[in-house]
Amino acid sequence: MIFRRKREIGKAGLGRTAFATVISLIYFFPVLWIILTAFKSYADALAIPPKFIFEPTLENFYSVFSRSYSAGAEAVDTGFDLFFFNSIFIAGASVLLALIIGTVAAYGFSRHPLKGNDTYMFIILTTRMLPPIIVIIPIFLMFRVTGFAGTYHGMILLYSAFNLPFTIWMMKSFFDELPREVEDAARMDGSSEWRIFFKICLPQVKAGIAATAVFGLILTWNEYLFSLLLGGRDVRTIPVAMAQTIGGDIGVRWGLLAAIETLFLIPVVLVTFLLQNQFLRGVTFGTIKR
Amino acid sequence: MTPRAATEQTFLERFFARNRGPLLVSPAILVLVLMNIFPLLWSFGLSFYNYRANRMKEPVFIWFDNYAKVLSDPVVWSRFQTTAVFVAISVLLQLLVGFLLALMFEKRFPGRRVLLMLVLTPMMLSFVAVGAFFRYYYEPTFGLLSQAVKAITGEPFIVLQTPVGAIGAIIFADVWMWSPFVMLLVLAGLVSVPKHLYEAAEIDRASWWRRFRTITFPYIRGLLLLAVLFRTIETFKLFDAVFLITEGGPGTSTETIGVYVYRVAFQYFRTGESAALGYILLFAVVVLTNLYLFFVQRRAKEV
Amino acid sequence: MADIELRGLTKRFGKMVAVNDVDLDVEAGEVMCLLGPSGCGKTTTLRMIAGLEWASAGDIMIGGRRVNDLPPKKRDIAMVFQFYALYPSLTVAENLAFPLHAEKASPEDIKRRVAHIAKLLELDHALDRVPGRLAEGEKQRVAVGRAIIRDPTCFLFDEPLSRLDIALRQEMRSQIKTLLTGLKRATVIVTHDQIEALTIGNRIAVMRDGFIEQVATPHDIFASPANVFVAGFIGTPQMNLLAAARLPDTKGRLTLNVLEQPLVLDIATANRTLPPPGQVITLGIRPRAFEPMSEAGADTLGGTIDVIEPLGAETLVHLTAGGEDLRVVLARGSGLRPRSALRLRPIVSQVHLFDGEGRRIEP
Repeated sequence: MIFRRKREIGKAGLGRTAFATVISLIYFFPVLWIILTAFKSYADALAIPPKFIFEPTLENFYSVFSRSYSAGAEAVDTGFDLFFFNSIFIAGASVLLALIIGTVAAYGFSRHPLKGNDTYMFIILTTRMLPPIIVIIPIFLMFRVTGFAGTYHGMILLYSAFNLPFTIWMMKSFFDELPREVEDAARMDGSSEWRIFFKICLPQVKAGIAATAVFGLILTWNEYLFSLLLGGRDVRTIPVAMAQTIGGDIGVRWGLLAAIETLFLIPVVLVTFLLQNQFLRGVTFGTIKR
Repeated sequence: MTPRAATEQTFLERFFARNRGPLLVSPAILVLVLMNIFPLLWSFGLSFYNYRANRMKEPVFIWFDNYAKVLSDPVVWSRFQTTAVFVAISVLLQLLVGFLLALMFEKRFPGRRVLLMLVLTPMMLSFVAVGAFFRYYYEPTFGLLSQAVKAITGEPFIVLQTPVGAIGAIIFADVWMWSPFVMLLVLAGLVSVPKHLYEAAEIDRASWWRRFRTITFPYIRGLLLLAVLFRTIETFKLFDAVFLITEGGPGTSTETIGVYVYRVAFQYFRTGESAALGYILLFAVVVLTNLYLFFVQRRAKEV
Repeated sequence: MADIELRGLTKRFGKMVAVNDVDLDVEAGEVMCLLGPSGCGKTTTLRMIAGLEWASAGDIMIGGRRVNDLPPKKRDIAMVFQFYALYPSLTVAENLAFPLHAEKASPEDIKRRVAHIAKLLELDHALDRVPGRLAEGEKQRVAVGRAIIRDPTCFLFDEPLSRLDIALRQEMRSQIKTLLTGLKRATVIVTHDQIEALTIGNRIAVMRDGFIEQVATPHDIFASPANVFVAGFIGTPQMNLLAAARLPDTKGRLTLNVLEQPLVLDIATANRTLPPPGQVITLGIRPRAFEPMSEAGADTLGGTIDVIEPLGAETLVHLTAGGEDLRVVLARGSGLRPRSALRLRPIVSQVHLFDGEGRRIEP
């Protein structure tokens, strides 16, 4: 038994890597298959049995933005360039707005608690957890009256409010972790409260702000119901456009649908890799840190 | 901590110093009141009216009639039952799959980080995207699943044709998407187990099962509970996936309460009734959220 | 007039009284150590002086000015925090310079003073690093440097050495003492480590449950503790505090029944305020204030040896006498055997007497 090397507790070898690679790839397969399908020609996408080896083509990606609806007809703009722009613009603007308001509020909740601080935090979380349909009806009526429906400012306001509870909970969890001593030291060193917030606290939660922003972007980017009910064609976002496409005019052009999905997924898959260390906190709204 | 009047402070300085907390949170509270609290109250009001948002007719105040109607409606109860089936089976399977995935990723091995990210990806995707995937995979002729089953049994297979198949298909997609969430929480529990406990167990020659029961499980118990609560809240509201994969069919066999409320509100436009139903859902979510936070705090004290 | 004066300082957290009616003066150039077990209110007292907590009652005077209502930055103080509180995103040089920005010092002045402090605390090599990349001892020196780079009326230290290992702690202890002697400022140091308090402090204030039990020089606090708590808290191994009943005097000498044995102490009772015979008092004898005796006498105590712990040069012996434990440190331990009998004579000049309330009975 002398030659048997004892493994250190908590570590596994290459055997585990092989096993985990197989399982992970099976798990990731649905995503992978969509991405592969996006590069297939119309015929390859419908091949029976399914083709794993094929000649990749970019035709589906061109067709996302302009295509002809019947053979020989002139190619028409599908509007997807606008929908992509809408998704990016609305998500970006609303996340930025929520981040500014939410970070300041989270700092307040963390460092200058109000009477009944926990109750406020609970209500804020509840507004995020509640079935969205309850608030959608009145917002639907409000937007109809004010003319906000189908406008950028309406959607940005809507999604800022949608992102705010998440932002506040996330950022509060980061502020709560900072040692108070450093702020006390700055206070003794003659710093104003503004200077403490900007020069001492904010630099320490940089990673937290980044994680919160990325999570907010993904959540907004993915959101469907609000956009479906409260946005119009001019401000339509990708999820809504995609859902309409599924049952709509492209029939069984799976390659095209896969291309739309791929364009929609790739940013999310990429930034998911950036989140590594803050993942758990992000998916639990900052309630569980480790 | 109320700072007292200081001689060297101006009126404004004093005002800011005294009201720092309220001033910092007020912009956020304002947005939330406008876009969440006010609509919530409005909904509450609507739930007492006979009102249809697509008609010009004046709302009629009918006290608790909407609630009475909703609660005595057998359709509502059957939708609740459907939802309960989804929640029970889906959350249970998520726990199981998530747990197994966590065990696989518990130890460090080369390439762990990259593989972990692959498994975590589904949960970051949009319901719409996932719905679209699975519509494609479940498609009767060209779908991967249909082809795979046909290759084995020789019979054409249309999974979404039968109620059981449709429920299973949706649960499969949901479990695929959210098991990584459970995995994350279990992993967090697993890494929080002090290593020296395992070393002691090794010295004491404890069996795998005994080690798991006496050392590992106590550390992940709290997180498992949180995972169940969190997923229950979310699955309870299940809407997008159903709406995109089956649209509630065949028949109404996969119509969850979330889809039903949507239909009542935006297809049948029985606005007052949908508000009442929404409030019943809200009550359930508030209770579950409260429980969730209670256990979060209890765990925070233990750690 | 003292540079720091506390008058009736009190802090209540809800119903709990953390600091109770504390009076304390710290003169310029004096180092005052607040010493006590955890939760005794010493840190709260320090934070009130700093202005990080608001006093519930009482006055805080710094440099003759009442500062109760002033924010920390207007109190003219500098503080070293327990966990150093270095600004993690700033380099060492920027950390040191941080307090100078509030003074609106010129860039040249800042540069000069940072260089001076860096040289003084041997931090030249680390000026461009961020705190995360410093050794524990270096972080501590940066924290001290950030405090002394200014020239405030007084310095506050919150457990300054508690995070260092033993060797480093000894080194820093003497460094800080030298530094503080040179600065000639009123200084308050909070610590739970009596060695630290005894070596650094000019005076020590022992606190318990929000009260100050005694304020005295390190020598006095050791030689004449004001009460049973201070007597037991200061000194290692701990002082033996023995319940003793006063018996009628023997030839005018104090006679006690202690450890179920009569003991005559060579203390004249004539001119002392002692409780009458029959009353119970507390007899305090430090473990090193015993002489081993070869034979029994009226002025000796006997016991049975339980455990012998060699301490190197000395030997700590645990005895049982009259059902109680007795700790004794002897110069030599050879010849001692567990379960054998030992006779000891208390050195009368080092014996402490406390009355029924635990207060010191002055000779």
